Amino acid sequence: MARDRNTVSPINPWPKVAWALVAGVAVISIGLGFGVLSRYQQNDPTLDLWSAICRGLGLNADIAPAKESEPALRTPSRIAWTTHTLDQVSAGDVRHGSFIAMNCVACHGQNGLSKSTVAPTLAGMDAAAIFKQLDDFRFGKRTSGVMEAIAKTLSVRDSADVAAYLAAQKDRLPPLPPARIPESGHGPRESDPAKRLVYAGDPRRGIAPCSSCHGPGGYKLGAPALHGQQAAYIERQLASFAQGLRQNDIFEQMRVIARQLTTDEMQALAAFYAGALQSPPTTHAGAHEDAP
Amino acid sequence: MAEIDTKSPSPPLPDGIIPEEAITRAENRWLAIMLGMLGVMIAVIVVTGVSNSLHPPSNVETIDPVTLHLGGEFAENNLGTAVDPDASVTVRLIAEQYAFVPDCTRIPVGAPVKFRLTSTDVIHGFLLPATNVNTMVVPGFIAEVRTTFSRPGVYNMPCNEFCGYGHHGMSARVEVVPSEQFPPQDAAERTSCAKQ
Ligand code: HEC
Ligand code: HEC
Ligand SMILES: [Cu+2]
Repeated sequence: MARDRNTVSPINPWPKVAWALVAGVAVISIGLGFGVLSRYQQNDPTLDLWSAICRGLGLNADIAPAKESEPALRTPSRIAWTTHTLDQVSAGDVRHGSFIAMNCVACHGQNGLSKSTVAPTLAGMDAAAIFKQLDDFRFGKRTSGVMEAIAKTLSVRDSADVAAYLAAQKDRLPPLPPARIPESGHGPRESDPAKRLVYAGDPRRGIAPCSSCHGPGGYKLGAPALHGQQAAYIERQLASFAQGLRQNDIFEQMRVIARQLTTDEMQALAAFYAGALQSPPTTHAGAHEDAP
Repeated sequence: MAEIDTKSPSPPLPDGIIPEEAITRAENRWLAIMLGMLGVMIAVIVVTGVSNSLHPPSNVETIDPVTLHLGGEFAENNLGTAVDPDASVTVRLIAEQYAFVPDCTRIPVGAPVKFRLTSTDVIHGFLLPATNVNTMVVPGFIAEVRTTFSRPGVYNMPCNEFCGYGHHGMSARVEVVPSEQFPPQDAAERTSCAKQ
């Protein structure tokens, strides 16, 4: 009884002691975490205490890393996927684009459906991808005698318009066979090398599945869908990425992968994607007929 | 009678009721055990952290993840291993869906190494097995880890933070080579063992 009365009496010092302890621990931790740690753990010895604390807190007093000599800058592309760029792409006007696209028919085919092995099919390609390639051609980031000249005649608005028009021609692509639908059962032990790379990649060589960026399954902004593309064109692009003849992919997304591929694999992959359009594997057709 | 009562031990309590003193003693014993366990656990964390130099990052540097390639520290040709004037090396890497760039990094053995990484899209994980290198790579921030490799060898660095459909294909290598195999290089030169 006596004890119970004591705990509630105002002269009990323990609550005060407890609060003081908690406050002390908080002050010491803050000092250690943001002061001592920021100052002594790592980072540049040139940082004075105040900037170190600011960095620890995320209040970048000095964002610039220590100045050192850097190699000459080479930008793979002028395009960055900022909201400004995406707004430019989405402002594309399909009607105006259809007029511009008349200039492309000679090589890229009616409605962007190419019959030539040299020029790629553009119908149904993501507008952002077309817009980026045109900008890269225009500024020589991707080399091609004809396309560099043609892209120079197009303004940014024109590129967005023609990209919007070509992207809208998706329905003109012949119906894609079921190979487009992600099929289950394509794992790292798949015997067909093309299917293995497309659906499973090759983790030992650091190759992510093509389908994680080019679909079906995953799409990465700026990565064109490859189904139905000309086989010769795909193969040539893979070889150009691997040899560094084409270097306009942002963050080396494709070069990192293409360098790991053998020429046989490039051929098999090109045939796989092109075959997806040209020779529907009739054996699968029945099984997937009712798939959306 | 009253006097005797206060001095004598309290009258036996009814069955099943434990005297207050006994409860206090038991409580104090358990309190000591509990504090001891907490102390051991904190000591284990502190000792392993300090002895293996597993630092929590104390550095917050921000960067725009979508414009890395347009210039600055993480521009394409500034990636890879740079040798600083004091013979320490700085390795700059980009982690993106679904690759590290460059995908193979060469580092001389014994040199103090500073890894600086950033992500272009989602959170990735950078871990070198059997070393103190293990950090998350968060878009918008620069992750910095320091280490020294004492033995030559090849370390595989799989991305250890699920980052999407192609995550399992995301891995790269660090090759730690004897210093004879690491030719001296210019301050503006960058090396890697990625296929060119
Ligand atoms: C004289 C023939 C020719 C004409 C006309 C032409 N192109 Fe091309 N285009 C090509 C060739 C060839 C390539 C492939 C370049 C390569 O192999 O790197 C190409 C590539 C492209 C690409 C890159 C596609 C990809 O998959 O990366 C785009 C986009 C493109 N052209 C858009 C256009 C547009 C828009 C027009 C019309 C304004 C046009 N082209 C007119 C020949 C032509
Ligand atoms: C990390 C995502 C990613 C993966 C995985 C990937 N690609 Fe790509 N690929 C891209 C991007 C992004 C581009 C567009 C590059 C540019 O902007 O010029 C591209 C471009 C291409 C092109 C050129 C297309 C054109 O029309 O110009 C081909 C061909 C290609 N990839 C084939 C493949 C193949 C085959 C694989 C699997 C082995 C693969 N890619 C895996 C992201 C990826
Ligand atoms: Cu990852």
